[in-house]
Amino acid sequence: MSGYSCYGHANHNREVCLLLKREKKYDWVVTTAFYSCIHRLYDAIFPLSVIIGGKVVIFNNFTDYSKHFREHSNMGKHEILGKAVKDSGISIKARTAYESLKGASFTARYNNYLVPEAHAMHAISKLDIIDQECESIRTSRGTSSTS
Amino acid sequence: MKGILKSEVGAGGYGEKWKNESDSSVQYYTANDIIDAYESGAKDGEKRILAQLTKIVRDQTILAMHSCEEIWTELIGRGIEPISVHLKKEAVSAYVALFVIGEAQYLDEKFDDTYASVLAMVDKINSKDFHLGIHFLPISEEFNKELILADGFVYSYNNK
Repeated sequence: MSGYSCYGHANHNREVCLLLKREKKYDWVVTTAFYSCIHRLYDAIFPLSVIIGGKVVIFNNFTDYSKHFREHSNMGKHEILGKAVKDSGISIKARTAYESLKGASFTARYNNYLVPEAHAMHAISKLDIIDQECESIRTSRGTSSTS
Repeated sequence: MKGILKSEVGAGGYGEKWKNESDSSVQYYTANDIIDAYESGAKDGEKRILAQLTKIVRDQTILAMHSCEEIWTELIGRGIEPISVHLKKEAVSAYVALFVIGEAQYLDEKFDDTYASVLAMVDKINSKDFHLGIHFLPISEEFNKELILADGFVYSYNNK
């Protein structure tokens, strides 16, 4: 049995993110913050119910959701996760934090990866917002904080 | 056919404030390339389809440009002064826009409200037939426009 869990991998990436912050590797702080938030969202927003063609379809995980929308649209993986986040009904604050973090990760390249500390802290603050909301979702559905 | 959007969209058409900054010596994966490739193999019976495809691409590019200008106006209305926006056709019916803004405004917590407002606008714009993704990029001394162009963001706008 695989030892992987979305929640565990989110925690793993967050730990790496904070480690890199201490090492002042700010470009990778942004990247790992984004990686962490992806797995945090995989954990929190799935299973996800979506109305498709007038019928409720339940996707148990992001893989199934992504497979469906890749076959029925021309969206890429990140656009599909963006749609899932929107479909999930997560708060606008958390959704905005996710979009901000995604943008920071995607666009660091255009400033030659020279990410100042303030930008790294900005990214971590967005990750904190997402983590807080996702933890709240886990609590509301009765999921253990260790699983 | 090279430059069809430049000639049909940019000159005297809707997107006259937009610059097409593509370098004809470089192979970008742009709408023009798709059209060029399609045209090179087109026969008489396919010309009608080509015309339809050209119209779809042109209309979608205009929609993407128009949407960016609406977002630009929203930003101005909220006290954000964008520096430029760079638009890329990423796939069939899919565009990505980079809004370059000041670093202080980007880092300001109050920008979250503006970001949320822009996301709401984008939700209304997007449909099963059209997708616009947006990112905000804080300007810095390291801002590398060459990379932006190299990644296919060939249309730029600064309202001048």
